[in-house]
Formats: sequence, structure tokens, C-alpha cells
Amino acid sequence: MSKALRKTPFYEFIAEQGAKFTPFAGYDMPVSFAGTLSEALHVRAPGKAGLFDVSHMGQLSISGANAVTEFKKVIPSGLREHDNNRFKYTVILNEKGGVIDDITVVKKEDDSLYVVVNASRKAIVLDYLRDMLSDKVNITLHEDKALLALQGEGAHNILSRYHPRLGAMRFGDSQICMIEGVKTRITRSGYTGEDGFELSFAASAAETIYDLLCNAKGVAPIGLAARDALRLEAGLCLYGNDLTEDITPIEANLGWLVSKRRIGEKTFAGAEVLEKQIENGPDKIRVGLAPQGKQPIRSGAELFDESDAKIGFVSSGGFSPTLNAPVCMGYVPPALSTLGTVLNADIRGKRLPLKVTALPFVPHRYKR
Amino acid sequence: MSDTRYTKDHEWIKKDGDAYVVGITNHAQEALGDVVFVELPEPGRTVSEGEAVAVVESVKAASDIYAPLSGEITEINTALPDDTALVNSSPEDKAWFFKIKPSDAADFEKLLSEEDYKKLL
Repeated sequence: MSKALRKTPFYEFIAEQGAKFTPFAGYDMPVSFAGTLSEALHVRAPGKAGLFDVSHMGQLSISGANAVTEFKKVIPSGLREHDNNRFKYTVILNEKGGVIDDITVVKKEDDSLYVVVNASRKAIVLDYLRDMLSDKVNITLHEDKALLALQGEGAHNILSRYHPRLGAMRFGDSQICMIEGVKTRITRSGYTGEDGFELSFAASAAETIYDLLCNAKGVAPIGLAARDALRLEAGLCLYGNDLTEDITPIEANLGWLVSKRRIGEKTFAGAEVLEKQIENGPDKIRVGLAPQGKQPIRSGAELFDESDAKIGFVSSGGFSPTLNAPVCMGYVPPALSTLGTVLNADIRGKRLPLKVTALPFVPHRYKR
Repeated sequence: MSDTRYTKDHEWIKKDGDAYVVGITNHAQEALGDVVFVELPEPGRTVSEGEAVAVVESVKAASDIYAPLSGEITEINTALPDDTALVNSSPEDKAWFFKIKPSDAADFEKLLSEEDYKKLL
């Protein structure tokens, strides 16, 4: 390996929990603890919660003159006054409407933004933003901040001990609070389909907060493999698999995050491409796919129609711990995206049938 | 002399009458993680050494199982595809994959000893 792997502020505490590590986006990250299946099932179990170290992701602040207006040049979503202190899931787009990254953004009252980007896309996003946004906008990557996610039905009870007004937060609300004397940005969000919270705080407080949450009743540490299984069950996209610079949010079936008003105004990168796709329909669309056998079908598998013509590909595929069955997402022509359509995947020369299925595979349980 | 031999692909091979039982090592199951799918060959199939004959898939990854010897598949562990967790809980005993009757029994002696296999880990 040419470059030394980076470690998050939680590395040594996680190692003490018996994690198996794997290189991921330049970081040495925990891939599993007790075992991927049991970790994923723990997160979905009544009253339980899973603790995820997501500090490898990039936490950015964007501020300065017209920061919001400037940032809107690269996203298709609205960011208006009523969105203050609410997080939004959205995408940063290139001029072709392709996705540079999928992100979350919180607009604060002072018209600055808190943005979380994928670990593997940090450098690319920073370069792109510096290129596209006015020089008067300050873009800072906070390498001195830690990020934890506590996900599952039990998360609310565990955290309400430290933050009495937690119950008033709805999914998407974001605010500053003190946890054990540590200033924390708490956001009711996550990427597992469960209710949960993400906590951003100074890396120097990593041990205090990690100990507190990891030792709380009903909490188990969760690795990357279970995180991937959970997000796939929840029908959520993984950058590099389900989203790339050659896939638009319309194709990714994320049309809900594209503002009709902003398409009309055409004030963001790729707006013309998205408008055409909305009008004429895209050439491909992301769907859920349920393999009809027990064998998992992985990302990259090619998809064939009933006359054995190649029509698409699997973008994410694996095994659902909750359903105890393989699940996939993939891209197919809209004509073949009707629920129940049977397609075939190629697995080393063998054809395995799968059926177009509604997403998510496991219902979301957000507190709206 | 131990009657168990190994391959560099993390399979164990144990003598059982005039056939040999084949499975994957504890090291292999640890590396794979939770096993969720096993596909076994048809009994009666004639195979060559190094030929992919079975598949084991975990939550994370798919892996081929290769025939450690040339010969005929005589029996398979029919319980395994329905109870894939056995591969994790009992890799070197209950989770055997198949039995093979070698075309040349002397080939067994060419496989890795336990000592040589452990050097690879």
C-alpha cells in the first residue's frame, strides 16, 4: 500500500470493541464487530440502537457572501427560510446533470451551510465547489470534527437523557446542544431507514462521547458491512454504485429532491438535462430487484430481458439480514421498470431470475 | 501424521474410507464472515483438480470452492444449503461440503500438511 491509512478519532476505542478493520476511502475502518448479520438485526430490533463511526465522511462549512445562493448553483433542491436548521438530502451535480456526490446539507439561520459529503468524494467535491462557487464564499473542511450516528428505535431514549428537548425534534431537525459538556450538532437523521441521530462534535471529545454511547444499555457498535446491508434494505443509494457522475437524480429515482421551481429557473448545473429527462422520461431508471433464488447477486452483474438482450445492470446487491434473502438495486429501461417484471442477471455465465420490486425493501421508520 | 491436508485456497481434506471429505478452514470462514449461500456440485460429477465445483457466499463476498483432487464427487452435505450458518459455527466438522473419490489416491499426499498450511496464514 503506497499511502498509510488514516484513522478516525475513534479508532482505538473501536479496536478495543474487537472490530475487524478494512481499508475504506483511505481510512482504516471497522468492517464488523460481532458479525454482520447480528449487527444489522440489532439496529432493527425494538428498543435497541447501533453506534456507527462515520467520521471518515467530510464535514464542510460554507459561509460568506451569498453562500446559500452560490451553493444552490450546484444542487437541484431549494434551500429556503423554512428550511433553516433542517437537514436535506440532496446531490451535487455536474453540467451533464450527473451526480458529483450525494450529500446532506443544513442551512443555518446565519445563512451559512453545514454539509456532509462522502469520504471517497471529499477532494473531488472541494475542488468542484472551489471551481464553481464565487471566491467570496468560504469553504472549510473540518478535519478536527468527529461524526457518530446512533440508529435504531432505542436511540431516542438513550439520547433524551442528555438532551431533554429531543422529543420535540422531527426527522430532519438539526440543532446545537450540550452532551456531557460537549458542544454537539445533533441531527435527527441517518442512513439505515431507522429513526436515529447524527452527532457532530470536536474530535478532542471523541472518547467522552464514544464511551457514553457505547456503554449505554441496548447499544452495539456496528461495522461498515452491516451499514451497507441496512442502507440497501432501506433502498438508499451508495455513491460509486447507485450514483455516479454519469447518473442523474431523475435516473436514480430521486426526482423528489429536484425542485420544480428551480428547474424552471435553470439556476443550477445540469438543469437543462434534468428538465428534458422529466419531460421525455430518462433512458434508465433505478429500481428494486428481488432475486428469485437464494444466491446473492452483486453490483456489476449485467441484466437481460426475456429475449436475452442486455438491458441494464445491478448497481448494488447483497443480502438482506432482515428479510433473510438477497436484494438488489439496478438500472433498467423505464419500459421494464414495472413492478413484477422478471429479468435475468448473469452470474458467471449462469442466468438467475430477479423481479422488479418496490423500494424500500424494509419500510422506513423515521419520526416525521 | 495427521490425516487432514489443506490447499492454499483454504480448504481442508480429510480421508474417509476410500473417499475424501472437503470443507473450508476456520481461517476461511473468519475471513468471509456470515455465510448466507452455499451451492454444491451434483453427486456423480467428474472433476479435475483446481476446477470450481462449489460456491460459498457471505454477506460481503462470493468465493469459489475448487476440487482439491481430480476424481468423482460421491456425496454432498445436503443439510448445508439450508443451514449455511454451519459454515461459521462448525467449519471443520459439520459444515463439510462434499466427498470426492480421487482418480489417483496418491494425489492426497501432494496436498499441504497442517504445518505448511499454517505457514501461509
